[in-house]
Amino acid sequence: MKNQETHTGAADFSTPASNAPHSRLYRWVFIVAAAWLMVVGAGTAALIQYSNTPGVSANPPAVWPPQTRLKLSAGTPTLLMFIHPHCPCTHASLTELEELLARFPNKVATCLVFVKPPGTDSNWEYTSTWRAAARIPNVSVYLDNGGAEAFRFRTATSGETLLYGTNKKLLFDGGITPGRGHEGDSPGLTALGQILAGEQTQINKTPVFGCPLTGACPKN
Amino acid sequence: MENTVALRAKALFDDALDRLRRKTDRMFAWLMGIQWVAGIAAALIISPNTWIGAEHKVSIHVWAAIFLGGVISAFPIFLALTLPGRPFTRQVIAVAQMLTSALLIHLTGGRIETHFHVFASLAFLAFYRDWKVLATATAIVAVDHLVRGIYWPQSVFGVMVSSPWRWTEHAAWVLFEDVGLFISINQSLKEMSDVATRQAELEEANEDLEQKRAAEATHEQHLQLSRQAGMAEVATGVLHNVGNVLNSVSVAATVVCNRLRKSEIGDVHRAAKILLEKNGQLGQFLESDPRGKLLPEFLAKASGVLATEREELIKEMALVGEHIEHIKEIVAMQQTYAKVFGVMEPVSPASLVQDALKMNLAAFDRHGVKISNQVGHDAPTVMVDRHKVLQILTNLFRNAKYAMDEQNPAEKRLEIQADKTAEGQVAISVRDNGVGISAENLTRIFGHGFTTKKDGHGFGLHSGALAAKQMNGSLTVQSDGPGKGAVFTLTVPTAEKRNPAAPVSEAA
Repeated sequence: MKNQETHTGAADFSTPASNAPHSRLYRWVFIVAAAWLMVVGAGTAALIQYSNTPGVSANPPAVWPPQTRLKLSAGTPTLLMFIHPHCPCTHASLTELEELLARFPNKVATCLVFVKPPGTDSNWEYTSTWRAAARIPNVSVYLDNGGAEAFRFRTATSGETLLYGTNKKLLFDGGITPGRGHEGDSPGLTALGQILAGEQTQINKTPVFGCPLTGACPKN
Repeated sequence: MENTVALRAKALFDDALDRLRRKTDRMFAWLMGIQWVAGIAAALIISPNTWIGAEHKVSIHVWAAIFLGGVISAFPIFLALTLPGRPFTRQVIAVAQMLTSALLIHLTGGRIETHFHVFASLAFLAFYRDWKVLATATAIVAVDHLVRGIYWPQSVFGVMVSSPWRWTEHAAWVLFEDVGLFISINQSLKEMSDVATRQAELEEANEDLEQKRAAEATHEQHLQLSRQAGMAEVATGVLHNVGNVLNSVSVAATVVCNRLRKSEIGDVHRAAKILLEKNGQLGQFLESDPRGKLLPEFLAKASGVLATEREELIKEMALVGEHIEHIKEIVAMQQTYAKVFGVMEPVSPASLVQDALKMNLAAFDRHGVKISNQVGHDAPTVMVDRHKVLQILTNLFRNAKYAMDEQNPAEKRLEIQADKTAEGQVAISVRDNGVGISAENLTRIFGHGFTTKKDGHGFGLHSGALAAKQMNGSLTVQSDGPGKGAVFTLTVPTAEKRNPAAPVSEAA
């Protein structure tokens, strides 16, 4: 039979003592495999840790600020999402938002605020994220040139979502993704859904995962 | 036999499985490389940079795709290329494939579509037809979900606080696919085993066939040798008999020559010369010369002697003519038998025995063997190859002659008879009162190379037995022991038995 050794010697790792070269081989393979598992495990853990580390949370005003150029809806709650045009993680936020709006049509007035930091080139903001936002129905897109509105609403991280009631009071602030750039159910999305459905919610603030909007920290 | 097939089937099965697993290892080596490149491409497309306001830097996802993806892929690729076919290699590949799934899911932002990579990977891993590989892959998925469920629950379950047992739900879906794959693996292994068994059986059958062919070739070779030996035996018999007859011719010629030498013709010649010399005085010579007076009486006596001589010479020359005729008959008979070689035909046993006896008659005469041929023309016609029968009978006659010479009884007696057997065959028996055969030799006498003669080669009886068998007959021997003679019996089918269709057609 061809290559008997393949069928027997390698079938289990209890290589006979007389088969010294194989024994040494397997010892080395085990050592390398253990090292490989450790490196891969550490790398994966670091990646997961990075993806699950939230950005700087917003400290938005509890009441709709009168100085803002953004418009508060009279008949429905107003949802604001602050977006860094180049943040790759925000695609996930937009996806989740689109699903939320599909579940609650005409139940909320939504404005996507694209923050353009000072010193950036013209058309810097027209990215795939902008185009994705523009395709969402019944949503207005606002260019926050210089980041004045982000500053006004004291937001710092892309994907930060604020919900103000018709009474101008803040109902929710936070992210609506489970991690950095990750789609899927999240506490923020669940809370927003409950609020829009008129249900009680225990959560009105969640971590937000995304790139820093301007690099400046929101003021209290 | 069955055990040999089973062992061969096992070897074929193991070999096929080994080749399949080595091939799958090579496939995964390629797949790992492709997945690594795909991961980098996904990272570059989906999240090339991390931004802080207007500033940006290369995303950690890109580095993770390059380095973490590279490390995940490199080790199994190395094992697949250097230690293919080993259980350890495919176990590492199973772990790496699941880790690659986790990385790709991560790099694509947890898209539900990318989760299909897990299930597709399980299907690919099933190519190994090793349930332990699937078990390892499933365990990796379960451990990944368990650990992340504990430390980063939102990353896997989408909620900040998940049930500690929710990971089992995710693993259960993987197990669901595993069940189907396990069944598929078992069926595939069974099919491979069946194929291996069939192949082993085919190989065995081919081997049997080859052995049978070799045996047939050897048998044919033996037959050819026996045939040649038989022909040589007949030729020897023919030459022997022709030699004997020629000896008689030679004796007759010598007798004639001696008689001619001693002939009275010389004296008659001298008398004729004297008569010629006395021509003209012939009357006086016959009347007065003492020699002339004796001449008439001399001529009368000489004519009588010459007449007798002539009669004897005619008789002797007639004998020579008979001998030469005998030689012609022997040669003609041999030619007749040589022409019908290999043809089965209905023949009278009486003519067969007579022909065989004719060819050996001179030898029997010379050795003083008394023949008792009791085979009459009423014996049933047999369906035989007459050349083979001639070979057999010639051999039996010669053996009988030798046996009787050795025993040297008061009267050398050879009896031939033909009887119909209970099975409807004809048994031609040749009985001698020769040296006989011991009991232990009775069983060996038809063996190839067995002989009791000093100059024998042991072909005769062996080829005779083979020839009899070829004619659907048999050659047997019976002897009461040493010094008690022997009976050889050639049994051959009758012409009627060889043609069973005849009565049917007659009945119709």
